[in-house]
Amino acid sequence: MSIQARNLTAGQPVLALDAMPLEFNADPTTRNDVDDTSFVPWSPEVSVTFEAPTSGRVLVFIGGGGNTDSNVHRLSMAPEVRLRDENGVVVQPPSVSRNSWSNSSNITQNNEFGTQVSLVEGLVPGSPYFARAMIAVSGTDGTSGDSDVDSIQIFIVPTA
Amino acid sequence: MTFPFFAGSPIKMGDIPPSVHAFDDTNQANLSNTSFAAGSPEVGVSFIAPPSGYVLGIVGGGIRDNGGTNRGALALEIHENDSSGTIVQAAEVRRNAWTNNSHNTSSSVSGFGSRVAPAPIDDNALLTPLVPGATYFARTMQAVSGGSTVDILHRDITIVQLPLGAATGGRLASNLDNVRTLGGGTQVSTFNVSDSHSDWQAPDTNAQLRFIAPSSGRALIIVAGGLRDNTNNNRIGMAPEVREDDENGRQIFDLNDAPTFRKFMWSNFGNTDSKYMYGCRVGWLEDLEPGRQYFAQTMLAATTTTSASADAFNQRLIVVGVS
Repeated sequence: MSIQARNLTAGQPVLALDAMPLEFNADPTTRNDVDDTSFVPWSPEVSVTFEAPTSGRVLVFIGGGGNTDSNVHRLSMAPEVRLRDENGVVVQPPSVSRNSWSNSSNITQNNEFGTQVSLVEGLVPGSPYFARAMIAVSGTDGTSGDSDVDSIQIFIVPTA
Repeated sequence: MTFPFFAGSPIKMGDIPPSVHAFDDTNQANLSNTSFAAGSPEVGVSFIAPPSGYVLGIVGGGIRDNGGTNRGALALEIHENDSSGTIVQAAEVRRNAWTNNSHNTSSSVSGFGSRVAPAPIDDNALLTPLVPGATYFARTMQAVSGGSTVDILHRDITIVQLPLGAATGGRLASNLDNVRTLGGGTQVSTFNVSDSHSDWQAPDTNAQLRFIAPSSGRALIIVAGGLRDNTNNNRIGMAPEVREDDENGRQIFDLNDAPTFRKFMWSNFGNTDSKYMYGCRVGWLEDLEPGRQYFAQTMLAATTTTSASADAFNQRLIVVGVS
């Protein structure tokens, strides 16, 4: 059965998919010396699956912490959203400038923590989607200690 | 009422309680406590748990390092009933705190941002939901990682009911209950600010959108993007300007009227960055006129020294109606 995208207006019946549940996943571990300069999935996988709401719009949140051991590099975490599962078509790729949270590239002794929010639109209502946390660093200094990652969170909130 | 709402089920009084917000601008000077404490005055809100049993907890503020390599943290704590009730969501740096950069050794300015986390959660999953209809109390907690001290110049807390939306129980649903969430952005524009931009200004290229106020009159306004300081102590901030109707309408708050900008600003930490730093600030709008159109755009300002500069990249703006 196909479900039409819509904006809720007065008098319409409310459908279960008008407000899908919050989906949340996280990994509390810390990993040192991340040196992937292209986005790779965080391991262990931090992912969620969800059915798109009738609006076709969700807020995607990525959060966590990290630090930089050298003074010129930056750690980035970003969501990747695909249809169905990890092999599905990518509908929102991870992007440093469009949907990532990053630390300051100024050298840090302690992990820095924060959140990034992005709005993903045009999802097909009722279709299954898959989102996972991806990680990258802007560069490595080739010596011990590059960027460290701590406690990645990803969560999806349906929105009107 | 159980969650999710099933088709055809009526929405009753109390099914969707209002989202709530509090802030305080009292300087929390020379903090040295390494265990989380509420500070004075306490920044807290009481709220009624929604039918889903889950809320978004948002904490934000500005932290300034007074030296050394220590980090300040602002985190979320939720109690049953009131501040003496059982803790159902503890303050935890990794789970629900926003922190500054721990290397502001020469910085005289504070960095601003937000952390958003659902509650209640543990290290890797949602916990048993809150009891729908029960009263809870949430507040900001603050701590330092050790070493020297930090100052916290602004603290805010917002509890957003899930599912998102502006509907409240006890009346017929209106077409303003679920106004469309809007996002806008500039994908590539780099904007360099110098000492001529110490006042808030709309850059030539920025993120702009128009939105309709929901029936609750309440919305989140989120600014996000990349910020980079080219010389030490030169903080760049990004914040929203909101006007009634359109770009020529009346401003509903004035960023130049300090300390208003502290409620909305995403900024770097005022130390030299070789790369853009990405993150966001979640601001709170209330007393909007339901059904009225508003105009919002990103604004930039820098705290500069002569011949200093800072850059902003890829400004983004999102407005979300909440209950």
